[in-house]
Amino acid sequence: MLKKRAVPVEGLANRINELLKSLACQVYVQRNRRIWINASLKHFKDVLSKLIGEENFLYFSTITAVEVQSEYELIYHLTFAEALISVKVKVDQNNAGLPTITDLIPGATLYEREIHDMFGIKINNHPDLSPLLLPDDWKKNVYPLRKWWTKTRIAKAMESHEDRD
Amino acid sequence: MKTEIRIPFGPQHPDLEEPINFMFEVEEEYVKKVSVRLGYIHRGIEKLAEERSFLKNIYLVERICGICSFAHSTCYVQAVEELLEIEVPRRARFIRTIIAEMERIQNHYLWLAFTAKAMGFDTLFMYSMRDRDHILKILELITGKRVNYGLNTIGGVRRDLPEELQPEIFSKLIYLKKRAKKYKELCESDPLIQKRTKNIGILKPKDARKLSAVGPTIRASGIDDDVRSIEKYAAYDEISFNVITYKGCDVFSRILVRIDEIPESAKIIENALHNMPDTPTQVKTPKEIPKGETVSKVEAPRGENLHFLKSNGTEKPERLKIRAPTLANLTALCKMLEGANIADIPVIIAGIDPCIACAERMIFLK
Amino acid sequence: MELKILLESVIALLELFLFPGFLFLIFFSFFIEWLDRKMVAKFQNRYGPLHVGPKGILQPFADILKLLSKEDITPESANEIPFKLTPLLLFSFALTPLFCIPIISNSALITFPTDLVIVIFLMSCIPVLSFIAAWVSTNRFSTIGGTRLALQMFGYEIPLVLALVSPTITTQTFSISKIVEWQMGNLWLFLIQPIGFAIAIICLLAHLQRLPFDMPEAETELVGGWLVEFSGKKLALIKLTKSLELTLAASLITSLYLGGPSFLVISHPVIYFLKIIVCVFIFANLKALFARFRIDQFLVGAWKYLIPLAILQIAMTQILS
Repeated sequence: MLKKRAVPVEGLANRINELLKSLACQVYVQRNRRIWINASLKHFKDVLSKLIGEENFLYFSTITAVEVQSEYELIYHLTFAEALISVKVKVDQNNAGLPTITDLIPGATLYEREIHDMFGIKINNHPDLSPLLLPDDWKKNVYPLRKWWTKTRIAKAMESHEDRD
Repeated sequence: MKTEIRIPFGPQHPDLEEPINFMFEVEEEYVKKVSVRLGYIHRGIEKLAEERSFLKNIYLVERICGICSFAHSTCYVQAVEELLEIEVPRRARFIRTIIAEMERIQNHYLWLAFTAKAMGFDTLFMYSMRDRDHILKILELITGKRVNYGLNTIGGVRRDLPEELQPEIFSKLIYLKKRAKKYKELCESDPLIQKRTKNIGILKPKDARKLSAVGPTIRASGIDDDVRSIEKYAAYDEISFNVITYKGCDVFSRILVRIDEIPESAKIIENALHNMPDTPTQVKTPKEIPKGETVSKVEAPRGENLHFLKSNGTEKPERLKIRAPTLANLTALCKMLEGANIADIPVIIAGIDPCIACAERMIFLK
Repeated sequence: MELKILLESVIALLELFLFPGFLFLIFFSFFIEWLDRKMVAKFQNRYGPLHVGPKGILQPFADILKLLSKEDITPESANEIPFKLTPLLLFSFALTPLFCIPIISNSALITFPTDLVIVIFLMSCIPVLSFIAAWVSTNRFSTIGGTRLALQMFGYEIPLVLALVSPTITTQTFSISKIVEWQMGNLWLFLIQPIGFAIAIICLLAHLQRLPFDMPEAETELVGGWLVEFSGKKLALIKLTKSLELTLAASLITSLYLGGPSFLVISHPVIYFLKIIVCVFIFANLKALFARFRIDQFLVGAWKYLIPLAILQIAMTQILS
């Protein structure tokens, strides 16, 4: 059955603007079916919980982490019937950590484990932050997807502790 | 006296095509807890993508997975084209749709074969693989390869679909539709298949939503999420089709969803071939991609495929992030496995159509 | 006089070792296994063994030869003496009952008034030995496989014995050779006791651990089940045991229900071969047609359907005789 999802994206953008008025974030429409929201670290979890409670929220897609100069930008992608909403949060490199969203969305555990493994971003109150993708004998504090960790640096780091067992 | 045994499933196991490690805590033939560990075929694709030009990355992205390779390359190429803000010619979009649907048919036959093997049904395994060879033959005639087609490029497709191949495609599609119908009758009438798959691996709709499952796994729980009908990428805005859902929430419904999607895909291909527009297949694109970031989504045979692409104005991407469907289904899988009988574990794992190669792409450099 | 005794003993030894003794039985079981693999392959629309020998007929023999040349590993934590002994015992327990089956004529190499009981006993020891083999392997997967085997025995043992013994009620004898003789004079027993015939086939499939009842060896779940730790010569003996068991099962069905090597008034080994081929055809059919049962589903089915039907068969036989 082909459901007619003909509500244009501006309608959704306006609704979102109304919803998130008090939370000091910018909403802009990139094109049809793409909405981006910039939120602050303090408020982003409230933003997410409000969006999840909104009708026509379908599911949570993934968490993307991007290194932007000296900060990390985390993008939470939520799929709605009319559009894909991506919520951006900036986090400092030496920060205290992000709150987990697994209490809102249990399905996000694996994504948070992935960014913790690859970027070293601390997630607070996560039920189980054991390594997901990295092997057991991986050296601590080597975060492969950070720009500083190039191939040669990682190889050197692995070799330098080779004699330690 | 109850003793808990911990059974490792994988990384090497005859039932798994790819290595993944599940650690099951088992008590008297029922699973109590399951924890998952990935990383055995990590190949560092996201880091490698930052070192290659946008064009070379197509070939990298294609090799994430052998069976859903066209879905990955389509997703990536769509993201780049969105950054360039160019319009892909209609003929290229139709060809992309046709090849994507053929890949879906090929994947579903392969999946049927492996699920039959997991149930111990060797005969169905052999028959499915024999039928799958027909669609691989057509793909070879069109693109020159059976997997990893190398057909997509930024701005369109590299090869055209010649008119002379159309009669053969039509005749093979009729054969495949007939076989799919036969397998559906078999599954619905065979009491042993129903015993092994009905009420096994239940995933209620509410859980499916909370655990963000995608693809045929969630369509077997009655929810009609299909990226093709929501996003309408490629030529799906001009070709109408049905989204197949079943309400059973168990492995049996997932089998039926996938078998039913085969004739649906065949219909889309026939529709596209009849209405193929006469335009060029490619437009020229510059090497440097303007700054920006986009998210591109595609319905791979296993579910929703998501690529996030950020460009900083040079020839190489700043960040490419890939979220493959199997990673999304893993948490739902862990939920399905709790409380299951050991003998049902392979059937349940096969039910979500695992493609671990897609699920792990990050680094292990030495 | 002494020359006659000497001649007779030489002939008896030749019969024991060559035909229809050891050598013949082992090569006959290779032939049966090849036949089974070819038939299942044809049902599955593929070739089966093709290259080794004409039409692949030497494939089982080549498999055993290859296994004999491979490394034989004993796991460290396994109990050494039972581990090394069980494959040999399995092989001998599978080979011995075959001497009691009439192949050339109506009387087998070894006959005595209660040889059916001994055959059933030896057959039933085989799964017990397999369970012991699984237990001493001390491997997670073989333990589960062994327990499944024991559970399976709970299901099929009773109806199997009942189905194999119901011919004796009609024929009033416990000797396989006498049962075959009885069938030469009267109808074949599968016409008189069809339910017993069906139950015997199903329970023998479970005894042989073939699809649809191969839970103890389910390769997609248990990586090989109870025989996972055996390798090299021990695995060769176990594979040989499996072929011999298949031959034994087909021979039992042939002798007890299909009249053995007899047809009307003549008794010839060729007739026996043809009937064995029919039995293997039935077994191959059932292997290709079905998926695998789950162990609990099988037990429920065995106690709900097989045992009452077997008892019904015995009751009917008593009433009719």
